Amino acid sequence: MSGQEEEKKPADQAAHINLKVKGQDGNEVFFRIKHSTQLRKLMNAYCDRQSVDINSIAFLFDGRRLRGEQTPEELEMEDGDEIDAMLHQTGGS
Amino acid sequence: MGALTENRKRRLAVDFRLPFSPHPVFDLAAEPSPPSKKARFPSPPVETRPLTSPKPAAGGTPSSPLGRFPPAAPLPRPVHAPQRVLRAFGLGSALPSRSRLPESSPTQERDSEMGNLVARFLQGKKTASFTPWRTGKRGDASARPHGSQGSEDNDGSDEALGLDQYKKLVNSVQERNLVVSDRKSVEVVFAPTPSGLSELTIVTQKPEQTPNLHLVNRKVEDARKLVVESTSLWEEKASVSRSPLYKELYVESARRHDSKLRNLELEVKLAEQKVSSFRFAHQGQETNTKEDLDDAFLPLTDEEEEDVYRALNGTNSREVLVVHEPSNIEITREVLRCLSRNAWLNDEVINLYLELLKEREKREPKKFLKCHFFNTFFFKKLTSGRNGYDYKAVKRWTTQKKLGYKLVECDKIFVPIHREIHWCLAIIDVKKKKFQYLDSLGGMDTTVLQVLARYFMDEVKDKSENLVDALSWKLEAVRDLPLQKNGWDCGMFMLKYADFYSRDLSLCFDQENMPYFRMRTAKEILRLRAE
Repeated sequence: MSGQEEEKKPADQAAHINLKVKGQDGNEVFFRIKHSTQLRKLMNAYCDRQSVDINSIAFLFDGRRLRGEQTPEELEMEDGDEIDAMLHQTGGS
Repeated sequence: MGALTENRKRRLAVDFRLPFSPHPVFDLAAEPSPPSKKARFPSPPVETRPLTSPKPAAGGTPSSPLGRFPPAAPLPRPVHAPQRVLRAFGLGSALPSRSRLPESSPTQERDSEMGNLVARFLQGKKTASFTPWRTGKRGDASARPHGSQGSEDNDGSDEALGLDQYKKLVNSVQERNLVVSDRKSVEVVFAPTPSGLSELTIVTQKPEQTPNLHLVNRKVEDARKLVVESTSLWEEKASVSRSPLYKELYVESARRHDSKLRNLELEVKLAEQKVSSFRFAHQGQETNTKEDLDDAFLPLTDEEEEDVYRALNGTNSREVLVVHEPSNIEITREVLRCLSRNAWLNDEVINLYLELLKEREKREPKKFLKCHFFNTFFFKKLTSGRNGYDYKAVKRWTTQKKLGYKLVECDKIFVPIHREIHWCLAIIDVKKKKFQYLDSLGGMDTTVLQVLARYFMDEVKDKSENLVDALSWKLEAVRDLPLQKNGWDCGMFMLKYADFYSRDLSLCFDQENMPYFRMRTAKEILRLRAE
């Protein structure tokens, strides 16, 4: 996790990508990760930072759910892409 | 009726003719002369005559000779007040004879007496039936001399009327009704004819026969009950033709009212038929295939139920039961347990099920409408912007590359709406150009539909060059949709709204089906295949 979640580092390498995680309330957190890094890292970091249980959050990319083992590479993510962090929903009445 | 009219015509013709012919007995129409009428009066009909052919006999058989007729039946008839009432209206049978023949003593007496009798029985339907019977007998007798013979015998044997005789009486009652209206004029015309002799005898015989006649009358009444249906029509006719003027007027006005009412009734009926036919056509459109319905309520096999039971009741709640690769949705036991009874549905089960619905449609595109199912986060995301609307947030959700189709090409677009603790469903009906809102609690939210209208316009503008004026589309709260009757089934209702609508079925389920739908949904999620 070291250094990957920080945005201050310059994107000097093509292997890295800047991603934005946007919460339901609109606040944004920027991450910089490698193309080949599993997104689980990013998810854990986000939840740590937001102090929420990872099981209560659904991460979406363009409306599709993200799984921890997926990487930006296989998802063809581009620099500056946005990931949505949505709270799980439930309802009955 | 044909017989009736014919009958009347003939009689009328006879009536007109008679005054000019001194011997009506030989009239071609075989109409009996007045004396014969009187003479025949008491004789009960010996043969039953079917209603349909009352008259042919009169024309076919030669008229009965006067001599053969028995003396008239004695009638119990104290002259009383009711008669006057009738006279006042010119409707009593006795009136014509009285007024026109003031000097002819025997005839007049008899007539008046007869009239009194009639008057007495005129009240109510009794009268209607009795008078016809009496006159009818005359006609019968005239047609069949044989009957006249029996009449004398009957005078003594009336007390022991058998079933056959009842029937005859009844029949004669029916027959007589045919000529009730003519009777008056007939009498008037015949009265002065030289036939007083037989009439005189009738009068003298009267006292003897009085009790018999009573009996006969009673019997007639009794017998009438047997044939109420057949006689009622005739009775009605008779009573109407004889009813006093005020009654006629009243009846007429009532009839006018009746006709209005009948018209109204007819209109109501028509409208009902229209509605039902519309409904039928509507249903025919929506539930045209019974197979679809069968599919929608396909029962689970024992094996499937066992699987569901095991999946829901296992010990390890963290165990991942199923992973849907295309949508990356993992279903753990904990998540799936929302499908057990009384539990609230969560977004993962809902989203996975909607994915399965889409896969089902791709599998069998002919069987289902072309639909798009947004997930439960779409609307949240769409409305997450500062102004409550952020198209850019969801712009990339529906690219051609991701979907393989454009939204505008779909028949229906389903949008789950999550409201804190409640699930609703909004539908963009592209084909019918309207937005629908389905809330299992019966609610409606036009702002949701307005947002969707705006979204759809932006979406169409963004993905294709076409412009759609979605803002002018109808915003509709679906009526008559099945509603939840508890505090936990809204998610299931919402899924089934989507399921049935994507099958192009009407929402023909209700609260009672929910336990089954929960089981079925659990099974379909475990199998990763919606049927």
